[in-house]
Amino acid sequence: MTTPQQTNRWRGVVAVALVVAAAGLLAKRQELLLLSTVGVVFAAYHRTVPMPTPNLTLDRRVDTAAPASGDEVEIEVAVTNEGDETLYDCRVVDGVPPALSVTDGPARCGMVLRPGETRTFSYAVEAERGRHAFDDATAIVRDPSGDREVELDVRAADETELDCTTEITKPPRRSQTLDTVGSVAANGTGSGIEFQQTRSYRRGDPVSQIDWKRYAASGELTTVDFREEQAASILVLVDARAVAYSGPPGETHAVDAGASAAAQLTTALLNGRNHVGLAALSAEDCFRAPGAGREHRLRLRKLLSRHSAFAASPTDTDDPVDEQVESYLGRLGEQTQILFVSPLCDDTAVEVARRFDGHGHAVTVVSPDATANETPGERLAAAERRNRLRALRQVGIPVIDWSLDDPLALAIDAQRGVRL
Amino acid sequence: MNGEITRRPARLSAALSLFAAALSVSLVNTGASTGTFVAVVGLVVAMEGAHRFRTGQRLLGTAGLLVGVLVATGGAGLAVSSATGQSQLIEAGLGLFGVFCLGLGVLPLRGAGSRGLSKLGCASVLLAVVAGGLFQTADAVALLVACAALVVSWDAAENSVTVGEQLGREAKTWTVEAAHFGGTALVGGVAVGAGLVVRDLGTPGLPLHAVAFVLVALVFLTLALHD
Repeated sequence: MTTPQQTNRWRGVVAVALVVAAAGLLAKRQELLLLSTVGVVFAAYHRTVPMPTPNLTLDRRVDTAAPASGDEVEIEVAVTNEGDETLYDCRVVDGVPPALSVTDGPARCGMVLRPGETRTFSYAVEAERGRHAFDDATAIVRDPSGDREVELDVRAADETELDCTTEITKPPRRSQTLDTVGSVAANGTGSGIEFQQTRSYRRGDPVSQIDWKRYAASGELTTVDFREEQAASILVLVDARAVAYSGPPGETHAVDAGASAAAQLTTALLNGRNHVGLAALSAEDCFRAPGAGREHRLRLRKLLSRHSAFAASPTDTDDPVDEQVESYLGRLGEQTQILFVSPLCDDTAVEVARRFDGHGHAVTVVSPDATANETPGERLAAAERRNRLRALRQVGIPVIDWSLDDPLALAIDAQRGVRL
Repeated sequence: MNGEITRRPARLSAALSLFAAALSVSLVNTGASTGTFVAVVGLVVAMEGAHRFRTGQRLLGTAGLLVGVLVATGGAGLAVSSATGQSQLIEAGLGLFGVFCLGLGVLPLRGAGSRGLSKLGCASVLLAVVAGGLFQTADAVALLVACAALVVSWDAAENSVTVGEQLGREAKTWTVEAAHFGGTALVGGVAVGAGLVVRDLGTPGLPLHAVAFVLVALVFLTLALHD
């Protein structure tokens, strides 16, 4: 809990009282002298009134946790005073996910809370594509005179999240694979389940793969080959540099879209039994090496919703990314693919993609389109971005151009395997 | 209604603040009380009209602005014309100027209100109260109540700006504002009582300087409470 801060709103009241008293003395008017008692009493009031120690809990209810894009979601917030002092001045601002806009009623309320009392307020937000976690609510508690205030974060009893995503059935990735069973069809043949070919028996073939029916019919020994399915190791790298916080005013910016895409991609890739990691190009290092399993999935999800790299506004200005790319390269396994989520709003992004590609990592770029088409400057930026897409495709890096109006799954399905 | 937050001063506190300031002015200068209250009503209507005009409700806004300006000018004229003699004229002038400044502070045309303007307004009303004491146009009790009302008015104005900044005008804030105002008004009552007690102490024969020393001692006592 934070310590009370002085608001200094009563500062000077004693000085004014003394000036009035001095005026009274000089003019020899008892009435004026008496007026200073008012100042003294108010000065005593703000010094003596006790500052309550707030102890608040918050319960947030959402009417639909998985709304469709554009739906209005009603949110009800209940604040309870768990302490044993009355809070005369408690102002609560709920932590609405930064990408969502409040459509009905403000997400804020002022309340007087007696011990044990619960007050509720409600508001509505418009759901936008993506997965949105609520932040902690902020409560500002003042003493009755307003002389001191405490600002504290109140975490909801259970973490609320709005999930407004379409499931991606086939996330994009390239054919480089690991020697682990997964869902990527390998080029080699082996012990999968999908039939690939029959060939004449060679010594050492497993007995279970011999086509016994054919042997019974013709007396010829043949072996059935199946297509091997293997797992890929994929690092989802989100471009969260300050320059990537671009987007049409009032709409989702590219880092938000990127984080949402990363959430959807990691989920889908993990569902396909791949090893998935997560990293961000940002002021602060954010790297989680590829892994699998339930705990890893939770860790990635937590990273996406809590790490400062994916915050709603840039935390820092950009440093050159060379060192960060170098350190990530050093930490990656040899066969790890890179799924680079970037709005491609400067040439550095292209450099980064080519650098990973040059080090032997198969790179696929998913690029949320954060450009607009209103002013000449915006049109120029859009044209530059198209050039960057083309440049990447020319060096053999597949790029999925994601218009933010469509679900990511649609963009991936439409552009799978497109190589210009 | 959309979710945009209008960071304008909270309504209830702003209204209470203006009311308390008008009360303060009219206690000092009883002749001008009707005029002052009418001027305050006119000011509120005019500022609300101007705000409506700025936010797109042109017709309603223009009507409100016109009616408000007329009523406010009429009220101010009434207050000034009721003044007899120079001293009352000074008090009425300072008081009206203070109330208008306070009104601009807590009912701004744009932005989140101004603490500076409300301070200036309250300072002006304080000068009116001090003038009331100097020219002896009001008795001690009226001056004490006027002074307490003035502090309550300033406190409500400041609180209105703060609540507006932190929660916005659409949020439900009246409970917080009412609790805050109630506390301050109660202490204002206590302050008036304390002033009366000090007056009774001083009247029988204590010289003014002795009373002054008592007050200075009280001030130091208050400062000592801080540590």
